[in-house]
Amino acid sequence: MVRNVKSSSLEAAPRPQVYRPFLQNTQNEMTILIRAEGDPLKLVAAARAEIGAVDPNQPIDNVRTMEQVVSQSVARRRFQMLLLGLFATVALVLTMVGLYGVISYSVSQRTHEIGIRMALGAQQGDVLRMVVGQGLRLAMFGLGAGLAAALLLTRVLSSMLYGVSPTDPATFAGVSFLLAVVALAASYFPARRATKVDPMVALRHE
Amino acid sequence: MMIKLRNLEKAYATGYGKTYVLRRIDLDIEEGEFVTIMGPSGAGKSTLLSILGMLDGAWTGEFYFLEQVVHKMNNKQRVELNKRYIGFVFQSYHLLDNLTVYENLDIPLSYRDIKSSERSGIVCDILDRFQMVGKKDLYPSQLSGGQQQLVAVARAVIANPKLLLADEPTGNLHSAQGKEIMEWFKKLNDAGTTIVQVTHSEVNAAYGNRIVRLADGWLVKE
Ligand SMILES: Nc1ncnc2c1ncn2[C@@H]1O[C@H](COP(=O)(O)OP(=O)(O)O)[C@@H](O)[C@H]1O
Ligand SMILES: [Mg+2]
Repeated sequence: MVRNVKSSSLEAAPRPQVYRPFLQNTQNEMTILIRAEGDPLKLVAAARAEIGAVDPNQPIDNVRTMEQVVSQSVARRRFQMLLLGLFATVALVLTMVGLYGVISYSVSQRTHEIGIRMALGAQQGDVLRMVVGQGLRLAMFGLGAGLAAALLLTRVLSSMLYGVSPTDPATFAGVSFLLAVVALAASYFPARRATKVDPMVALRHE
Repeated sequence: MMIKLRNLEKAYATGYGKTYVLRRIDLDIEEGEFVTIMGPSGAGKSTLLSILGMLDGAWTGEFYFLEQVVHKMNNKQRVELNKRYIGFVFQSYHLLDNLTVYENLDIPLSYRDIKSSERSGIVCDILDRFQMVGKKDLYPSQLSGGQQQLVAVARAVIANPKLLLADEPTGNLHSAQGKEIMEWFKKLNDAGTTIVQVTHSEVNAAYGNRIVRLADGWLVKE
């Protein structure tokens, strides 16, 4: 009786299996697994000698550490993930740039309104609170919708992930935080610029 | 003394030189006065009014407001003076298009230390006085020019300013409405509000107690 073993690939769930003596089911090749303490490659010479002692005509090849075996088994996957990660990063950066552009443009469009409000007694702080508050509220709506969509879409991803949940909380929180910061900056800086000029100058802005 | 201007000048940079809009303005306005600024179009009337209203800080010379030294102040300090003492009627109204009449009137109150429970009472009061109760949920674009002007006047006086500055406040009103506004200015003035208005109308000017004439940026000596 043995416990479950992942033998073909990391993603495949372990299937029921039994171990039988080699001689009951001979094949023309054999893979030998050696558990080592310390550097496993140091054992190679000794292992060759032992096998040669049993059968001097036996060819030995494809000597690898378990690390290499695992690494090769996921190489393709790793490359796909690298590409996916690259595209995701590009998408995130584009989103940030776009978000900044849209919000800061819409705030600069409000220069005239800001001029009116300052002429009616609004201080810089009043204006910043209003504009940044509204920008953040908008960003929250966007993030809410985005996260909901992401939660649905990541179900598709789950088959490709190992060791990370498709709804990884750190990733979701990190991306949300990043976009919220962008929205904040995009409302804050143009609004501050609009409050720095004389109301008369802002009022002429159409 | 409410306003004291000494050698006040304003110029715009144009090409290689400067174009002066106001030249060596010396002007005193006492508390409680009702002053009318007159002069041809382009004389600098609106410019002078926005300087008095602390909306424009790009000028040289001396400006004392209630003994405070405005020419040493920064933008923020000037806005603070505006907020505490001044109501302004713009020549082009400057109502906020995406807010209703009611919300437009509430803006000046929202920036002052007034309890929100009292604010709605004040707004309803002024709506009543300007006979615009039925219009309170309309947007500026749904009003005629005259009605927008009435809202602009109401918004300027809603926070009880000590100084009311009005740039052609009856320009778009028919004479009955215009007369009503002027009667009302008179009443405010009698109650202690200092008023400076810009107008082309001799009839309106007659409500005030003094006329200041501007031409090409210069004060015209009487
Ligand atoms: N931003 C500006 N740049 C250059 N000149 C300006 C600007 N704003 C106003 N002016 C000029 O200032 C002068 C006075 O304008 P204004 O005060 O509006 O006159 P009024 O209200 O008496 O008709 C005008 O000749 C106008 O062309
Ligand atoms: Mg004018």
